[in-house]
Amino acid sequence: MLGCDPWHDAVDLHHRLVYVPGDVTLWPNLTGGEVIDFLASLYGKINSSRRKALLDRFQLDPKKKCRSYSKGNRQKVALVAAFLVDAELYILDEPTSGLDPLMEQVFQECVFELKKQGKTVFLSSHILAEVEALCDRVGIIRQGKIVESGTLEELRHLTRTTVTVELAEPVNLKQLPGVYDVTQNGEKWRFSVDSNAMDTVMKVLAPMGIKSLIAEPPTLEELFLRHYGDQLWERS
Amino acid sequence: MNGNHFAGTGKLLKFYLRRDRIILPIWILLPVILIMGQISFTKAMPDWQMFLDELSESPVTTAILGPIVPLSIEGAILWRGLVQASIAVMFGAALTMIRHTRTEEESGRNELILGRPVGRYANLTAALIVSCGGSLLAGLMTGAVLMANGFAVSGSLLAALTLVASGCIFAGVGGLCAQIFENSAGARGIVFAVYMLTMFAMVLNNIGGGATHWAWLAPEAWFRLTVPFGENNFWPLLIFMVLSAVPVILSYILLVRRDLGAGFFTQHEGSDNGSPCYNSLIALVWKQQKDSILVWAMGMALLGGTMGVAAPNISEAMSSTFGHMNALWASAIVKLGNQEAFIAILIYMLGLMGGLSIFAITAVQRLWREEKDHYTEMVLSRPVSRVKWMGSHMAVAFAGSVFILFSLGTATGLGWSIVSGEFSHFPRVLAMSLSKAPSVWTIIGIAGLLYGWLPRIGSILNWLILGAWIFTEMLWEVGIVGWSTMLWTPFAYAHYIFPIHELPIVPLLMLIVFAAAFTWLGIIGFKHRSIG
Repeated sequence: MLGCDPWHDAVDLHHRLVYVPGDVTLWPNLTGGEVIDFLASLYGKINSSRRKALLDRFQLDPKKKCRSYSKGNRQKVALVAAFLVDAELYILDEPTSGLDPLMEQVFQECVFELKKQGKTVFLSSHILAEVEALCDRVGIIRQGKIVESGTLEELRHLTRTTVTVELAEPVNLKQLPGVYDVTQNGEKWRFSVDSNAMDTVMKVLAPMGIKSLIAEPPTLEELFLRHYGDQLWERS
Repeated sequence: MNGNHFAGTGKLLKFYLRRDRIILPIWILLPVILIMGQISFTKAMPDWQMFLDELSESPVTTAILGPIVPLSIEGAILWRGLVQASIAVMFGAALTMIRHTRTEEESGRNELILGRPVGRYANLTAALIVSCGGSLLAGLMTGAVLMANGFAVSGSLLAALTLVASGCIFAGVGGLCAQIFENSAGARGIVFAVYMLTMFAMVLNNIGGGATHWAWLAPEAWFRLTVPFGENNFWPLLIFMVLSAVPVILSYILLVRRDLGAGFFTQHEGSDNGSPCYNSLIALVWKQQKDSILVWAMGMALLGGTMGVAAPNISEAMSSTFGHMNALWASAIVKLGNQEAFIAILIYMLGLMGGLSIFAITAVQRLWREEKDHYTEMVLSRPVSRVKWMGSHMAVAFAGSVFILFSLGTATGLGWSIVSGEFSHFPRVLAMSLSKAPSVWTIIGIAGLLYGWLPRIGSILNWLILGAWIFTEMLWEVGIVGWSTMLWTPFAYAHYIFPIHELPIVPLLMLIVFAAAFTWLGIIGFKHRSIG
């Protein structure tokens, strides 16, 4: 990792990375501010203007004792203590499950800033909208193994686009190769189509008098379900 | 070894001191206060010289507390004072170790720290520095107090260092238990069990005359090996140091050989569905308290049984002046005879003053811990009333205390009866033990009352109240306060000065009413406050 051995060079390595655990528990009799200062000071000097800026952005009251913080507030403490550190790699393990949508936005801004500075952020998350918004490269882990990885574009290429189309004339879509899950509701059709069959399908549809057309690329959720879905399917 | 493994130790140390800003001074000052108390009331005794002569002549007191060595005012102070001070330091050091290692790992807070540039030994090292440093400070202050009272410098220093050594070995024991056991409550339980074993060794040493090899196994009696103000042996300190290093080294070895959060024993799988007899609230409570109740019962049976077996070794020769000593306890010993007095005092100490009173308080404190850890929420969010929840916990504490007293009485009675061949002892000893129940219940009731109304400071208040009662008992023993003051403590109503067949029954019934009333008031308080 980063050219070091994670067991032998643990301390040197940890100087270059920051980790935020999924379940944040804090010391009940210390204040949030004390915890942030302690955790950040393990790396060296604290940038106090940056500390203040982060506290303001996350709207965290550092004077409260940790025992009175909610889950979201404890996560904020861990996040502030992490973003305060100038590291090369940020490992975030489901850091936002307790944050409200507003704070989620602040978190995403912070990650974008790190990205702009050329840092690497390693985010593990079940909130796929967050992953879609933030990540350049995505890996899907199933039963401890990476089953798919690549940029979001690459992953999308492997799968189907959902098309909703309103046609003036009747058509038989079920015969077309590469078209699946066809449903019809009056003039409205909905189906999914393989990326490489898109061209043929569009050529068939074009003369049929298209009134409206929506083509949605697969969401990460669909990619994800494709990998986990068959497991559910097997079980049933 | 790479020096890097210790990176961040200093910062962690500072952080631990900040975390322990309240608890650390308490356990450091406690031994100092205990010694000061012992000094002031030994000096306050009208005729301490005669008193000491009496005590060291009586077979009963020497069997329980050991002989006073040297037979001087210094010896008399250390005789009980250093035992008490050592116990305070031992628990302070061991619990501090667990608090900063296993508890941190269990809660996941350790992950926050270990993900940062901190060496893998930093946390254990910083915890050891706090524990051993705390013991050192407690020892030095105790030594200073002794010197300030005009006692010899070498003896004071030796007493101080002996106290430090007892803290350091228990820091090691606590640290090792924290490495071995996956949860901190388990580790604390084992520390307590180790302590009970050391008490056992101490009593065997006392019965054996106070200078046997058993003393090596009892850090609270290590002063019997160094003998401050007497022979002033400094050499055992070296052996204490080596002994203390063993668990510490083992802790470091185990630390890097196990997974974060894991213990030495693997978790085995339990049953996949609840058995029908465990599907009630009281069963859940019992399941949670079961281990501690069983450990208490076994510990008490072991201690009581051994003392019972040892009782016939005590000479029935009565010390000549006990008869005309103007103290209730002296006349009680005369009335009971040495062997029965030994058993009665022992049952009183284990079954009430020094043993079950602690069980009573810790059993009720469990409620606050359940509440703090959000277990109470889980249960109360279901159709369970608060009355039922707290009532179940209290009921298990009440019943558990009787069970422990029963096993104490049975083991002690059987031990004494079998060895002496006189089976009429058995029912008497069992009755002695069970007669402590109303007093223990009163303590449980008071703890429940405090929990119901003042949960946050309740536990501290509980210990302060118990401390005040024990202090009253000690003042009464030396004749500074009279029996009328003792009546303010629940101890008085099942006291060893009453032969068991003469124990007044009405006050005991009153105590039961009090215990019920306190519990009821506590439940009312709990019903009307917010959880957490």
